[in-house]
Amino acid sequence: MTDQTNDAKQYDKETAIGGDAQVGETMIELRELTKRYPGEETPAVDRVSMEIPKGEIVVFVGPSGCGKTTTLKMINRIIEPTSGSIIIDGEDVTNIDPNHLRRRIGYVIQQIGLFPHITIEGNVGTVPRLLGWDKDRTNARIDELLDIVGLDPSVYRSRYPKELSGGQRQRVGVARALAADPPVLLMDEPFGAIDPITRTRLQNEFLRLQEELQKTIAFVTHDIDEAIKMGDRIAILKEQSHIAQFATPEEILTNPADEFVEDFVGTGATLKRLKLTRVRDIEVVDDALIGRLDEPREDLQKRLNESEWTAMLLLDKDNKPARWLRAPDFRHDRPAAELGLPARAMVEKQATLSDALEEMLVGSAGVAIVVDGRGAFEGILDVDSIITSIQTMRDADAEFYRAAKLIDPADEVA
Amino acid sequence: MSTTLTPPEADVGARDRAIAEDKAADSRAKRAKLVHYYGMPLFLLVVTIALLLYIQGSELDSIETRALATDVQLDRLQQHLLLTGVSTFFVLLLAIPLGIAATRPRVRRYAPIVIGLGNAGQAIPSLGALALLFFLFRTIDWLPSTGTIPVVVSLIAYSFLPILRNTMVGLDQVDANVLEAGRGMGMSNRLVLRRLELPLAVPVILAGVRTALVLNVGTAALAFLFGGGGLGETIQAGFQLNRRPVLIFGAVSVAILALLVDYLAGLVEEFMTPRGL
Amino acid sequence: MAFLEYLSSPSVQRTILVQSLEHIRIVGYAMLFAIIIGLFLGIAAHRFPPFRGPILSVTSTFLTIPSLALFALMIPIVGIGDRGPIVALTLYALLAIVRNTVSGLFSVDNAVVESAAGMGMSKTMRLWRIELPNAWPVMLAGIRVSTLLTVGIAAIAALVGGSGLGQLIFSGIRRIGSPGALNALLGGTLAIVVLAMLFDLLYLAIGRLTIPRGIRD
Ligand SMILES: Nc1ncnc2c1ncn2[C@@H]1O[C@H](COP(=O)(O)OP(=O)(O)OP(=O)(O)O)[C@@H](O)[C@H]1O
Ligand SMILES: [Mg+2]
Repeated sequence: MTDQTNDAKQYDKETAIGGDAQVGETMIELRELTKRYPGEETPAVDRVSMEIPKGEIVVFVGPSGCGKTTTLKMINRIIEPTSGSIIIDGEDVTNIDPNHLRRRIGYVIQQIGLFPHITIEGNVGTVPRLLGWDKDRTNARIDELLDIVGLDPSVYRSRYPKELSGGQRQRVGVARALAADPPVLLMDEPFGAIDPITRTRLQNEFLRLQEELQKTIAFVTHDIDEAIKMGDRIAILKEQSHIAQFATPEEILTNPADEFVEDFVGTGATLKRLKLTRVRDIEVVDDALIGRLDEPREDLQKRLNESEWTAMLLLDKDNKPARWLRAPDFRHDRPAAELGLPARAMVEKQATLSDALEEMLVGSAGVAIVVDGRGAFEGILDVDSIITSIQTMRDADAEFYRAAKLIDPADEVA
Repeated sequence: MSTTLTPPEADVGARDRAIAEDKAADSRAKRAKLVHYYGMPLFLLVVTIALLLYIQGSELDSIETRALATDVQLDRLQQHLLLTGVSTFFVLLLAIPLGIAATRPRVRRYAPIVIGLGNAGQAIPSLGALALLFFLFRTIDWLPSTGTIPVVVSLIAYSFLPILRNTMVGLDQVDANVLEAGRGMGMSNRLVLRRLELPLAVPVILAGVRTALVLNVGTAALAFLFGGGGLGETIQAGFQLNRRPVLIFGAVSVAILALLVDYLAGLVEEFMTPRGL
Repeated sequence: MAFLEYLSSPSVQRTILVQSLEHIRIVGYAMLFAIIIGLFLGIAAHRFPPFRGPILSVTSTFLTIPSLALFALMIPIVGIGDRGPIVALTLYALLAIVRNTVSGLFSVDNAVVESAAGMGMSKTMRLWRIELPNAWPVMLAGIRVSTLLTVGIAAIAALVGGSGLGQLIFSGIRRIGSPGALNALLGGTLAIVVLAMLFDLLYLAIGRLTIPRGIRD
């Protein structure tokens, strides 16, 4: 097992493919970690070995009961391993005092577990106080954290958990876990009990936060979509936490190790893949036929007729897309600003291809207009370019995996 | 995390302890069951033997010998059992049907009042309540003013409210969903009562029997105060005569009797409760 | 009306006052001991599963022993006076306190305790900072029930030479059949009921003061 993960890491170093996750030193290492619950014949987790690189989010995903939670909770020894060892930042922590271990590991669970008898301020300040921080430092930290998770300290500090909404409670849970700035964060379905809309928002906020914080995070979910969205790397687990595949989301989507992974990822793998690629990553059409709202009609008509394009995009004085014009539109005797159809389906460069595709289907023109943050025109994205990019990705992946297998045939995941 | 994670006062044994705890959980259930069935009778047997040996070994003076004479004690035991049995029988006869009636849909909204009264009644000291009831029943013309009968009536009256309250609370707890399902299947109220509520209420009734027995065994120990006899008499004699063996014999025998009654009622409760409840 | 007249007599008032104070003293000591021991046993029963069964069955066995018998049993052990009743009442008070401590501790959301552990609180810290405060409302309810129980049973002390309002009732019982019995019976009984109500108010106030807003309903 150890070999396998090492090898997976090797590929990343040697080739550029496999996501832009930076592979640095290992922060958490599990060695042959095993848990057998009392009275059970078979272990719930059987000899898991895995390395979690510093600053990455590694997601454990797998069917219910496969041992994700057990594996995660062995890292901070909420569940004591039966055998095997845990190494954090080079130190074997399997036998040290668990309480001191845990004060340096943030911990977020689905049920949140805020202390109901203590105010938000007290909840967030728990670990700093355990670590003996002085009052001012703790207080400043509490305000800072509440700000970070988007809760106004002056409003929420002295509230009790029952006086918050579910989403707000989960934010406090995250703030509490971050309180002492632990380098490692363990999260067990942290967004599991929250309505889908709030969940998406919290996921995005959390990813933005992680960009700054660069924590090493082990994250459990049973939702493959969440795994793909959140993970720098995904460990797909089968029963007893056997690792079916440990790789970047891209690898898992394009090259599932076996049938189990394929089934688990589901038939929508290519569609899911679209969520991984962003508009800025593919080529957009930037020589589209452009006109201006204030140009004379005749000029516009002439340019359109002379070009090979079937439609022309009119921009306003701020360079914002305004209307789509086709040749037949000129039959109407109206100013240019009222001809044709309003321009819709606009996406920014950070949008995923999946977002873009959705916009295209909604918009009337069959294309998406790429705009910058202020809404100014940047280019045009059509279905063809999305399909081309999928094709390219597939070819590149196939090549990469062929190459990988040549390097070390022993790596082939069972 | 460059500094070591292991501080000087480290609780290094935590892991071994956790594993050991896990293992201990396995064998516990069997032992608990043995103790459950045989613990109490064994304990009572030991106490009884110890009590008899103690009396046997004490040099009893004439007063003590008379107070502890076998036939006197058997007499009192018989009185005690009679007081307990009769009062339990009647209190159940009254309280359980009334409890069922009082939880019918039509009068159900008054149930909280009765239950509340039952709760409030718990604040009344048994000694005072019993004495006041006895006082009251003595003044009723058609009841004899001395002897066992007013005492038994007092015991019944005293345990009535708690038993009624327990019955009503128990019936109230019969799962409302089950009843709704029954009605949904077109069962009449009477049918729901007979087919669903009563079977589901069996444990409640059995618990009521046990509670009544234990309550009455205890209160019957106070019957001597009102001329009703019973084993309380021996305790009283031991205290008044300042005779330790008599006092101990009285107190221990009352305790043994109460524990035995509770144990047996518990067994009956356990074996008669329909399986699956 | 005769009863009101009886109550208005200064000597009766004095008796009731003195005996009430004696009663409170007996109950107070018993509850103090019962709370300390019950808390300890309850925590032990919660934390160490092997002890749970034995602790609960022993404390419930105490409650099965009729009060007169237990009070009498104390005489050879601690002598005549209030000490016996205090010990006996302590034993009676244990069950509700132990049971509610155990169930209160069990009622604390597992996720809460687990996240406390996850933050690196030791077992002792978790107990004092998280588990007990959250179990407190249930524990307090147990203490309250125990107190009401002991206030009533304490009357039996008079039968074995103890003090308290039981004396007034007992004097009434001895006089049943002669005038004045009813007054003594009523006086003693009602005084005990009033005491019980006062204790109830006290616990209400304690609850108000000690249960954090976050877990009050
Ligand atoms: N305390 C326990 N005692 C015995 N078996 C347990 C215990 N906790 C978990 N298990 C078993 O261990 C296996 C793994 O459980 P675990 O909670 O790690 O699963 P999971 O992958 O987190 O599942 P889910 O997605 O449903 O949360 C399951 O088969 C479960 O039944
Ligand atoms: Mg889980």
